[in-house]
Formats: sequence, structure tokens, C-alpha cells
Amino acid sequence: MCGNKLIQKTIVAAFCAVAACFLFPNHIFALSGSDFRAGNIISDSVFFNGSTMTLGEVQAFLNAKVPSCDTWGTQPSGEPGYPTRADWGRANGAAPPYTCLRDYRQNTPNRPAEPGLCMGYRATPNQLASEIIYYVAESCGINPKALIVLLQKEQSLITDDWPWPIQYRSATGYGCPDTAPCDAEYYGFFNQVYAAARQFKRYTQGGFNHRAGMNNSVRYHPNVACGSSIVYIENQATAGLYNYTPYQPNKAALDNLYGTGDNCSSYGNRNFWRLFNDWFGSTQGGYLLRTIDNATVYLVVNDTKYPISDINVLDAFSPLGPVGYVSPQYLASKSTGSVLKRLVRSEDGTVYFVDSGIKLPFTSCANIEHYGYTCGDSINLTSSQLALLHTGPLMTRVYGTTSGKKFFIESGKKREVYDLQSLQLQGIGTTYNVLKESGLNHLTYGTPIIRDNVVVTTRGTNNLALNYEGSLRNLDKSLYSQTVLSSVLPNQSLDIQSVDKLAKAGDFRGFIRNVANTKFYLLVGNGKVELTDPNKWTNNYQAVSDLLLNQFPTVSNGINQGLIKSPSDATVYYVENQKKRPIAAWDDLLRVNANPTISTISNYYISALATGTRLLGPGRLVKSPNDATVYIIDGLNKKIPLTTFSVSQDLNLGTQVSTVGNDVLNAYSSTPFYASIKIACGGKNYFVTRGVAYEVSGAMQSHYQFSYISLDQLTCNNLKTQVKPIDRFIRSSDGTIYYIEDGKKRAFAGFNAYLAYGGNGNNTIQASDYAIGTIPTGQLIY
Amino acid sequence: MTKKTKNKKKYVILLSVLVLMVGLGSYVLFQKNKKGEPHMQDTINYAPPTETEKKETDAHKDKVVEQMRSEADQPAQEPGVRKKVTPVISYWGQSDPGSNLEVGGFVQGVIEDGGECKLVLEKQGREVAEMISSKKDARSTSCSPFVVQRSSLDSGKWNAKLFYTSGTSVGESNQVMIEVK
Repeated sequence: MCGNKLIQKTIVAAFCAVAACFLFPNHIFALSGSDFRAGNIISDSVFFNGSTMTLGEVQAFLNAKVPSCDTWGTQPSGEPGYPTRADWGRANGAAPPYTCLRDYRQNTPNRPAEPGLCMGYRATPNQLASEIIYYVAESCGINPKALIVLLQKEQSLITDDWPWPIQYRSATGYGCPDTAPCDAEYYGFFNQVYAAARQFKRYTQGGFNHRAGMNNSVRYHPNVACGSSIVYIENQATAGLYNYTPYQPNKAALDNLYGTGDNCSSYGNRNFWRLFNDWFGSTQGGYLLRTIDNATVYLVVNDTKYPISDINVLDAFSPLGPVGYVSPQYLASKSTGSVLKRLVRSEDGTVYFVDSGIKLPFTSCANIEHYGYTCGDSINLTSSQLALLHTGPLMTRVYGTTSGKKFFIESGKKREVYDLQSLQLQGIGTTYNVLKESGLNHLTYGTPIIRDNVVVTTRGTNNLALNYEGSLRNLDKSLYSQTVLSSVLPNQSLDIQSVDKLAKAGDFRGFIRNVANTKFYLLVGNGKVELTDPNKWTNNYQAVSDLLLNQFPTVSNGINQGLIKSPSDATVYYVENQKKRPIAAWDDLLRVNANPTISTISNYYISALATGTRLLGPGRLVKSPNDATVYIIDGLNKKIPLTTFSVSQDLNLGTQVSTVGNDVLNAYSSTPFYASIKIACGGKNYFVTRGVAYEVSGAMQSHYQFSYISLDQLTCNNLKTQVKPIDRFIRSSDGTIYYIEDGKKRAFAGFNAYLAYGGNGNNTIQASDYAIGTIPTGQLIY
Repeated sequence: MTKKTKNKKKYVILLSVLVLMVGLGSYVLFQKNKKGEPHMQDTINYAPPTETEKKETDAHKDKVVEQMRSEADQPAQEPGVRKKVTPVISYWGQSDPGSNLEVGGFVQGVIEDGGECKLVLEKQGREVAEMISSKKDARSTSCSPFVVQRSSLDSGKWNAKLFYTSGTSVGESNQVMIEVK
């Protein structure tokens, strides 16, 4: 039971608290005394904006703050012995009726225009207080909200529902010194409002008691014994408020922002600030101003407005914002200066470059000129405005950007820097600040600062180039990425405008040589490979300095075998006569090289070599699709017509024939001779039968009187025959044994004759019938 | 429906409304405190006066009564007798070391033109003085600005006082220490 009641009460209490927040928004959003800044009670742009309320809004505001006027003082007075307000008023010489400000009227006088102060006032009979406030604000360029707050803090006129005549008489306290009677010259509501507004304007001309942009000794109370503190007054409006009411709130007054402090507390400026915030929002506006109808933003410095034409410049000065909206009249009251550049000057003459809310001092006008400005381009900011810009390091000739670029600034141009080493090689210091690139938008590109033997990527593209001997040479992407170039040479990006400034010298060829023209190389993944037969690849080698060449280690691999492939394709090629000949089958490859080393090289080289005809394996039997002639491939470029498979069988080449395209076969030149079992390989003659190659040498040559066909060594390698010496005894398949003599075969009539001639199992070869048939027949031997 | 159920229902409704109001309030507070947007001086609080404002207004009536009585009781100025007023040195400084010294002040208790403001700087027995005419301000008399030639001062700490004399008033300020660079 008790628990339920407790929960109920808690919820109701919380409800009331939240409801209060909506009913009394001023208090939930009420300020803290810690928000009060003695040096900046209100911004110039807020205080001196005379058009922040319409006449209707002023009247509506006055109406809202006095919902009901106690005209006849019928409400209780709260004073003992005086039941009603009327009673109390009469006792103090202020009998009813009481006129609330919302209803107050008077005849207003003329006032002449005074340049630099107010634009004058036209006499009008029976004007409402709201009209007086509105028109005085307009005439003198003082925010009507400031005048309203002034009336409240001086005489509570805004919220008083039974104001006395003396409150109108000295409505703004003008002409009322502390501890002395007021000056009757300024009596009356209009006089008070006009005089106060005019005086606030007069303060902007200087020469009064508190000075903006300086430290001031501001007291806490009229009693000197309450002391003072040093306040740096940041702007003229605040200086004006102190001129008018020369006291700042002490801690006690700020700690009890909506109440009283102690004996040394004063409340005038505190209440001005508090009331303005409660009724009209923040007293702070920036120095970046525009009107609602015109998008041009200006930087306002005292009486001059500098138009900002570049969003990046606006961003640079952002701490002087945020951008505030003011009346056209307020802006028109400022003379228009030159378009704002990024240069500002302090009172001591230092010129700064401004970027990202930071001011970086230049060391000289000469440096400023390098940046494309002159010292005269700078504008003087007030100390307060300068203080809003964080002071950065000295402005350097090297300008780094937040996007990672660097520029060397020279003679009004920005020279993009490849890397710090490039700067060092030119004797330029490498210290730089990092700022936004937009700070250099006004400069054109100069020749970049770049060293030799580096790779340049054109920023935003895939284009690569090698900077070599002062010129850029286009660099093939695969040559770069698939060779040692990518691991040894630095690669940095430059803008296209910078690249355009560099001299060009064609393409960088991957076939390179030394300057002495004695060594020739290809580039591979881990270095350079010296070519033993450079002409096999190309006859156009690019000379490369030793300085660059020595950056690539010399490595060995099997590339000189001439068998290559690309990293991205399985096709193997054989390099011959500056062409690449595709090898379609593994068997063909082994016929070219029984122990192949296939080198993977950059696609650049694969593309650079023209494609030759398909390579067929030496020793293969081939034919075209539309011709029955069978050929034996001899070497890399010839074909030998085959008349009978007996030859290929004896040569141990088999009988399997591949059909290849006419274009492929026609690339092989046909020999004038037919295939034979009498061959010459490597300078030796052979009689080949049944897969055995019998060397015919010495004395045997007179007996074996053959014509031998010369075969390419590659073909010879692929015969896969045994090699034996030949003798004079040959046996046929039917057992007949012949004796070779003087180019003829003589059959033995009997075994005894064979034995008598010296024949035996070791010196007698078995030949095919075809092979025996190619030898002319002689007389029998008995 | 039992009493227990009714109570539970009531709690739920109250809690829901509470959450809604907190959420709405937070949104409004967020909107009010949102930074980074153009600063519009177009907010006007049309709410009726708060209780605090009403109390302050009522309390001010007492000050009005005091003021009226004070004015009524104010003795006439005796001829030839100058009223004691309070000069105050309110600012001093140099734009940069080596430049002229500027000093400003005012006089409480009187509003008049043509009085004599005299600034006296003293250091180790040596005095430098400057005089200017006063001018009226809204609620005081201005004695600003004094410009003291740097060449007449050497660097270091000087004691400064402001003296005021006119046909009707006289006074001197407290001493302040001014460091000249």
C-alpha cells in the first residue's frame, strides 16, 4: 500500500517537473552565471542591428509582457498600512491612473540627423512607446531588443503593470548619475530612449571610459572598496555597456543569476545580458554577416565590410562566425572594402595567412609575394577578431595539404613536390605546414619539383611514367607492376597539371642496355636478366644509365632458353627472330627442349613481341587438312615430305600423324628431298633402321654408298634411336644375311659362307625389309 | 476492474505522458542548442512575465520610492562648495611596447563638460602630468582619453592618479600601478 502511494507521488512529481519545463521554458533554458563573459556581454553585430523587430512585434511584445494593466492600482500593494497600490502610489506622489508601456503615448519632437550617430527623428503627435522604440532603433542603428532590455533593467518598464511617472521620466537612466540628481534636460520617455540610443552610437567613435580591444579595470560596485578586476573588452558594444553602466557582476551576483548577490553586487549589466538571453536569445553574433535576401557574406571589421566571394575563404574565417543575418540597413551602414583574401594584419604589423581558422604569420613581404599576394592585400582585423583565429606556426614556402600533396610556392606559382628527397636535392628546406589545398586555389601550377629515376602516377588516372634524365617517359603498367620496377623505384602521384609541365620523351622500353652497348637485359620480378642473344628478342634496346641500371639486381633465370609465358595466360611461347611462337602442346615443347625452363615475364614483353606461327615439335608427323602428304617436321622451320611410313618407322618416329592448319604448315618450308633413313646429324652419317641409328664412318663409307639427308639437331634429338657402329653384315626379316660391298648387298648362299666371311652375332645388324630394299643387290656369295 | 488494476493503468498513462514530454522537451532543447547554423536574431519570447520578473519589478518599485525620496531630500549645492566626486581610472595601455601610453577614466557623481581632468603619473619621485577637458557621458563625466608621450616616460612601474576639478566638483581617484614598456 505505502509502496503504491510512493510510486504514485513520484510519478506525479516527475510529471509536474516536466510540465513546468514547458510552462516555464525560460527557467529550464535559463542561463548559468558561468555563461556570462565580462569581456563580451553582447556582440557588435547584434547590438548595432537596428532592424531586428517589426513595429508589430515590438507592440506585441509589450502587450505580452503586461497581459493586464492595473490602471487604477486596485491590486494589493503589499505595503503595510496601504491596502492597495493606489493607496501606496498616492502616498508617494504617484496616484493612479497608471499607464502601462504598451499603452503609453506622447508627442515626439524633431531631432536633426547627425552623421555617424542617428538619422534624426520626425516629430509625431501621440506616438506609442512601441513606435518610439521602433523608430529610434531604426534611426540610431541600435537593436530595439537592446532598448527594450535597457528599459527593463533601468526601470522595469516592460513588465510593470502600474508604472509611475518617474519611471517614464528617467526610463533609461540617462542623465542620472550615481549619488546625484538626474538632469532634467533629458526627462521624458522619448528623450530618454533617444539620448541613450544616440549615446551608444557615440561610444563607437571612441574617447570614452572603456575601450574595446584593451584591458580595462572594471569595478563591481559604486563602492570603490568592492574592488575591480581586469577585463579584456572584446567589442565596442560591450565597451558601450560599461560606459553606460560601469560595473560588472561579481561572483555572488552571477551565482544567483535570478536573484541577489551580496553588498558588492551590481546587477545592471548582468540583468541586461540575462534579460536579453531570456527574451530574445543569445547576445552573440559573429563577424560574418549577410542579409536574408542576398547570399553574399561579409566579414565586418569595425566600419568596413569585406565581401567573401569564395566558400573556401569563408571556411577559413569560420571562427569569426557563425554567419549571422542582419538588416540591409546595418550592412549598408558599413563601407564596402575589397574582396576578402586570406591575408590579415595585426596591430603590430604582422601579416598572416588564414586557413581553417588558423592564422600563420609570414616572415616577410617577399614571402607573401611568393604566395601571389602583396602585403597590401591584408586587412586589419581587430584584436578580438584576431584572437578568434588560432595562431599557427610560421608560414613556410613548402605548403602541405590535408589531401597529402605538397607544393613549393614560388613567384606566384605552386610547384608540386614529388617527395621530400626531391626538395633536398634542390637545396630546399623540408619543413612544411599542413593546410587545405583550397588555400592555393588562386595560384597556377609551376614545374613540379621531382628527382630522376622515380615513377610518377598522374593523379586520378592509371597513367604511369618514369622520370629519367629530366624527362617523363610513359611507363607501361604491366612493365611496372610485373617487374622489379615496382619494388625498387618510388611511385608518387602528381596532379595532371603538374605532369603537363614536365618534358616528355616518349615511352620507356623494357628492353634495356647499358650505355656502353655491351650488355642487354630484360626486367623480371626480382631484377634484370642479361640476354645472351639480344637480337633474338629485339634490335631496339633503350640505353639506361648505370645509376638506374644498378638499382636493378642482375639475376639469372632460364629466359635465354627462349621459352616464355605471361603471368596471366598459360600459353607458352618460343622466342625466335624477334617473334613469339606459340607452342600448343606439351609434347611440342619437350621436342624443342627436353628440360624446359619456362620463364614468366611481364605482359609488356609478351605484347611487345610480334606473334609468329605456331611451333610444331621437331620430328612430328603432320599434314594439312586438305592434302594427304605427310611431312616430318625438321627443326623449327622446315618440313620433309614422307613417302612411306617405313621411313618414319625405321626412324622411330612412328606413324601417328597430326593434322594442322594450312597457315601453320605453310609456315614451314618444304625440303627439296624426301625423308630418308640415311641421315646426317651433327656432322655424322647414319643408316637408321628399326629404331637404331648405325653410324657410317671410316672404311664403311665406301661400302655404304648413300646420299644422306641433313637433319636439324632438334629433329635428331627427337629420333630417340640407339646409336651403334655399323658393320658389313645385315640380316633381313626372312633370315637372309647380306654382305655390303661397294654399295651393294650380296646375299650369302649358305651359313658357312657367312662364317667364312667373318660374320657373327655381334657384327650383324637386323634391318627392316624396307631398309634392305634401299640397297642395290649384288652377286651371291657361296 | 479492481482498484489495483485501475492504479496500474493510471501509472502507465502518467509514465507514458512523462516520457513523451521528456522526449519533446529534449528535441526542443536540441533545436535550441543546435550549433553550426546561421544565427538568426529572430527569437522573441512572448510568454508573460515569470514570477522572478514580477518579483524584480515589484522590488524595483521600492528603488523608485527611494529615488524619489532621495531627490526630494537632496540638499541644494552650496555656492563655492565643490561636491566631492569619485574619479576612476578605467583603462590604460600601449598598443605595443614603445608606443604612447593611453589612459582613460571617468568621474562618478557628476555629469558635466569642461571640467579639468588631470592624470598624474609618478615614479620614484618624478611626476608626469597630462590634462584634458571632461565631457558629459550618460551617467558620469568622461575623462578620456589621456595620451602620454612615451618619450616622457621611462620603462617600468608608474603610480597613476586621476584628479578632477570643476566649478562644482572635486575629487581624486585611487592610485593604480601602470607598467610602461
